[in-house]
Amino acid sequence: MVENLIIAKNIAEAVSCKVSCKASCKESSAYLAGGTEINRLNGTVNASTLVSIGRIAELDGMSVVDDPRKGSCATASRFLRIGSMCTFQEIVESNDAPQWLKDASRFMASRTKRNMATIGGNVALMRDDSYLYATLLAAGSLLELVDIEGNTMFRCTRKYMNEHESFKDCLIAAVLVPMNAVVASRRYANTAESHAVLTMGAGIVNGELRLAAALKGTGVFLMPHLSELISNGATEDEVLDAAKNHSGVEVKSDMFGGEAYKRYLLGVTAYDLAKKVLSQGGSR
Amino acid sequence: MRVDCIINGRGRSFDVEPSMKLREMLLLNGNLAVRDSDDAEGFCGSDTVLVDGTPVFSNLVLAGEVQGCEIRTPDGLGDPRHLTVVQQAMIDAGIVQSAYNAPAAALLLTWLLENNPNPTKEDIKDALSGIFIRDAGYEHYYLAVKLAQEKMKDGKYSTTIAPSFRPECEYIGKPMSKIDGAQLVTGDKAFVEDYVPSDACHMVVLRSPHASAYIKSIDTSEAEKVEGVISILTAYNTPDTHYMQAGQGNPEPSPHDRRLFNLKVRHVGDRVAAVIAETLEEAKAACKLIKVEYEVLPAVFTVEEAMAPGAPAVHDGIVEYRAGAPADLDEYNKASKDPREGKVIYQFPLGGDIRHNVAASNKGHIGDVEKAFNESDAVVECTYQTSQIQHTPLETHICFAKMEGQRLVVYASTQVPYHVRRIVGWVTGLPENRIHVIKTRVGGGYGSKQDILIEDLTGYAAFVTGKPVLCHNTREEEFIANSTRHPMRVRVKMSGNKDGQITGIFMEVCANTGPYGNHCLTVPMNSCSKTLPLFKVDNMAYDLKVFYTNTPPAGAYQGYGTPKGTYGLMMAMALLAEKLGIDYKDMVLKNHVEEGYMLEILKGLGEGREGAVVPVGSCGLDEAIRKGCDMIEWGKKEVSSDPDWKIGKGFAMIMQGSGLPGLDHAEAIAKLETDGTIILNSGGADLGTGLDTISAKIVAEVLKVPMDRITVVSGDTDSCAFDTGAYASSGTFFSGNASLEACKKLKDMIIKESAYQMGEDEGDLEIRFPGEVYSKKTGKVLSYYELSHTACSGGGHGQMIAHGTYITTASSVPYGAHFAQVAVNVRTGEIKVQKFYALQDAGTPINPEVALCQMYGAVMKSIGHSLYEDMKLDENGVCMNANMTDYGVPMIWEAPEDFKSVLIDVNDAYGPFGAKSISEIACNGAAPAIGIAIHDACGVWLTSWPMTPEKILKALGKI
Ligand SMILES: Cc1cc2nc3c(=O)[nH]c(=O)nc-3n(C[C@H](O)[C@H](O)[C@H](O)COP(=O)(O)OP(=O)(O)OC[C@H]3O[C@@H](n4cnc5c(N)ncnc54)[C@H](O)[C@@H]3O)c2cc1C
Ligand code: FES
Repeated sequence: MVENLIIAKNIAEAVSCKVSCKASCKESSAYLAGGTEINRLNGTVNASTLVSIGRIAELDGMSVVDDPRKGSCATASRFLRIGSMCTFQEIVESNDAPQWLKDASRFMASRTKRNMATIGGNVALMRDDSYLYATLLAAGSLLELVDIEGNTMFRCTRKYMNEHESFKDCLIAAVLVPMNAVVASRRYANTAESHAVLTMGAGIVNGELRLAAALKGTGVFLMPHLSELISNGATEDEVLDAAKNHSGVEVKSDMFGGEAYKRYLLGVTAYDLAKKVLSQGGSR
Repeated sequence: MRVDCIINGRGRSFDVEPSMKLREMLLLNGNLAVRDSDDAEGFCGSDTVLVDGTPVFSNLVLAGEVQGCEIRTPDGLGDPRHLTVVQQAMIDAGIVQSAYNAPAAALLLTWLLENNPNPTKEDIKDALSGIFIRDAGYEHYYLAVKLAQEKMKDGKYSTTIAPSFRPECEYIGKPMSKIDGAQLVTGDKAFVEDYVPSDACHMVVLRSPHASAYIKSIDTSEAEKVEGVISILTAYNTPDTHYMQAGQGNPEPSPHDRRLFNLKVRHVGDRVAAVIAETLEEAKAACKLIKVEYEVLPAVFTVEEAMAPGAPAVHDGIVEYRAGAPADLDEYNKASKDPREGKVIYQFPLGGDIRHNVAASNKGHIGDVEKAFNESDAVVECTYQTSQIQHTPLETHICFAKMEGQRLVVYASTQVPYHVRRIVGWVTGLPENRIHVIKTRVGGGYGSKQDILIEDLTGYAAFVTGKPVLCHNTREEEFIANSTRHPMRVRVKMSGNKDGQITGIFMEVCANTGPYGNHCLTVPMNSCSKTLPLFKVDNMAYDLKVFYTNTPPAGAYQGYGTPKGTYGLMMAMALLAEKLGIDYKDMVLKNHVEEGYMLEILKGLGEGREGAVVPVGSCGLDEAIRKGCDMIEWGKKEVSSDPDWKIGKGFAMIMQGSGLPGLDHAEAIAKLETDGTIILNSGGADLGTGLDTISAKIVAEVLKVPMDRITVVSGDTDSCAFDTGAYASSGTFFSGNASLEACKKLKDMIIKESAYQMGEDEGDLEIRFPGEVYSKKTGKVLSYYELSHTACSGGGHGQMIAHGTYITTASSVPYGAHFAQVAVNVRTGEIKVQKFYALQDAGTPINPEVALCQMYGAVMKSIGHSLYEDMKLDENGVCMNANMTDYGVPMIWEAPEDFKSVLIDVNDAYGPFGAKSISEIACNGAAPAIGIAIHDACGVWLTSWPMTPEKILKALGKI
């Protein structure tokens, strides 16, 4: 039950609200962006204080920037910096956003929801049916984070995924997607509005094939095993076999699909998307 | 916190709680058209508003966030007397039907056209992608946009809205605005929720967490202490009256197998207790404090489990019969051990055997199927399975009841106001004269509001507490505690010869009625009775059993059991055609009935009585099949440029009924008012399907008066006369015929009274537009105004009031054929419906534009059950997807890219102005048409719905 709603005017204020909630230990708090998860029925976020970040100008807009990190595991030299409060619809309509990101943003089929939901909210949630995370991960995207001390840092989506818990108090200020990246994605859901059983992204990061998936019941993960196999020229049957038997990924049968179906989809989609991105300019 | 904002152009200030949603704030401001269909799930879009010019879901926005914003709501567009171009275009296009979220759709289309005056189809799709339309489908939304554009540009429409029928008629068969369109599209007061006073108490139901359990005790002491609690109802303080919730004729074929509260719960979601409190929050809080001790019992969920030897009995109490009890009943009842089981009271024998979970059974035949199977060139046999489907009306079930003196007044969103009155009378013990049921506009029914699912308890609660009581189902309750489509297993055996003649058909139907027997015989019977009469086959037999189980309840759903029987029969026929090496189309054409064919099969389809053999009446089946085959280019193989996608075509012939001859009944009262206008009191229940408009058109046509001088009052049990209600496709045929009868009688009265007043012979008089009597002999004219005024002011014989009743033994059957072209991805299993053509003979479509939208809406629902919708229960009977997103209703992106509804012009001998029913039948064709098309595309037969990618991949051997 929401007891406090604070409308933050800038990042510093937003972060300090979060700090004071944390200090008081009594209240749970969350940043409120588009509200499509926080305010919906059976939403997964429970907080008594909401810090609305909807009016912070620094979190809006898109611009092209250089790689903000000094050299380490560079994925590209130029990035599109997308303010975390950018909505899915703003991305779809943007002249700057790459087509692969527009396509992935359209996975959110409801226009009205796209008008509200933000990229920052979607990344922060990192759900097992995430619209965007697998694609952003496959593209080698970066996150601009502000911790509760107010420090800004840049982390790749892989690190954010692997250490999700440790970043949970951070404000996502922006998502940085590499310019000129070769990326493709696919989503499988019962209807366009249903939660996806699988959303997969494929990209070429630092010259290497990168496959990432958000799989219902499993979560978001990278698939280095399949990426390597495909990069080494495996046939479709070999890829399907590998997906079927790969014990590195725990796959559960649930109402979204049986284990065999999910593993098959992982294999066939990995093969198809890899073929697509590799044919578009990546190398094995 | 303080919020200053602008709402529909006017500055407003509010003090809001941090948790308050924008929708709540708007309701406080009186913007009632900002509705909610899914408890803030963010799916249906009924709550759409514009914030600073952008469409958002107001349930997902906190009120505190709109400080300084400009908000537009649907009720800010135009009022019923000043419609905007978009609102008028929506009505004219026929899409304002049950219309619960039509105002939200109007807002979205307005926004679209303001920002993009020339939108493409994709733009319109995009704009509507956040709104769930269940009644009319999405197809005529494109038309509405086109009409609005034309009106804005040229001041008039140039596009033909729908075809016109019966040139000799002025109103019948012509597209014209639905008479309640303005009220609905503007979001004016229309639905139950709009009539609830702010001091109404709220009722919340505590529901069973177990699929089967005895209640050992209920402790309400802590709950009673919660402030505001008025009463808590349980099995211990409510009447021991057994009844059932199906709104059908009386005595109805459903067993009386439940009480308001039972001491045995029979499904997850079954009623345990109900708290009536001053506020919703108090009622919810008290519910949580009720302590219930259960003795959990084993449960059965499928017909296979229910029929297994030694299966636990869902009902194991005393069985009684109101008529026709078997001789060994006392012996049978000795097996009942626990009084908490209650009773099952059959009104007459239904072939039930509750100890073995059989709620009802029936069988019948003509000819000798076994002989036919033995002597034919080929025999096929296959079993088809269908899943549990929810109607998902945009307006969830809602009822408001209050005492007015000694009378109980019930505001209900129902298809059957008179059955509501009867059943509320049973549970309260009140006679019918002390119950007044007011049917408001219904925000979607589709059969689910044919059952008296909450009115019984709400009426009882208001009666015992003396308080005004509101009960409004959550969306989850709609799934777990309402009625659903019966899951069925249909085994079909069919034989035929090389010349394409089908020689024998056998159907074994096992239906799952869930814990209670609402419609347990009638709905499953339709899987045979509305399918077998399509065939000109001499040997046909069926064997039907309906089982009690512990799933959420089943009941009536548009089409009743017919979609399932049609799925089995058409798929089996396609299989047989394949086996015989014959084109499926040729086989269909050789075996379908035509006008005049004597339907011997009806003998065995009388639900216990011997049915009358009658010939096929008006029948557009052949034309529908041939025309549809031409449209879809039957026989031409389509090839996709992407080799993974395989394309196939399929179709199914379909039929339904137009009410139940010999059972249904309708009445109407037509009154000439003192100023010459006319009020028609129709017992019929308009669910948004345009029945009131049909009645008005009948008045206008017969009495030659303009539509604006006619008012139709319907579904009010005080002012209207008895009607069995809107189900079994009876509305147009029965209620329409009653209106016609009343009008004809009123016309006779008008002529008689005019002859008296004018001093002329009746034979010399005729009535003519715009409501006057003309003497062919003298040329004298008497307006209805003068006539009625004189009649009611001492100079005549008093007000002219005519009463029309309609009953019949005639059966007017609508026919049709539905065609699908699908693409199947053989690598991923994905299925796309590329084309869907629905061709139907509805007799004279009185409201053609509304009829087309009824067809689009019904087809969308049936595409839903064919491909996506499925209530999934876990091993304990808990529905895992009791929400819109996970359940999987189709929305605009699932609509076929090329989608056409076509009305086959046939004039029926019995329907009013030749009309037959239109919408139920439209639910029957999609599953077999798509199933056959999938086979044509990729060679696999999918024998269970929903037909999913996973099933495709399994059938293709990929997983
Ligand atoms: C019907 C429906 C279906 C949905 N289905 C899906 C689905 O299939 N897949 C899916 O991924 N999502 C789904 N969602 C959830 C949601 O719409 C999206 O994930 C959306 O992108 C969330 O963004 P938001 O801005 O609305 O987040 P909010 O609801 O505002 O916030 C969500 C979470 O993210 C945090 N957060 C938001 N912004 C930031 C930030 N800048 N920095 C740090 N933390 C932040 C919040 O504190 C909160 O914990 C669905 C929602 C609805 C209503
Ligand atoms: S949240 Fe939109 S209709 Fe419920």
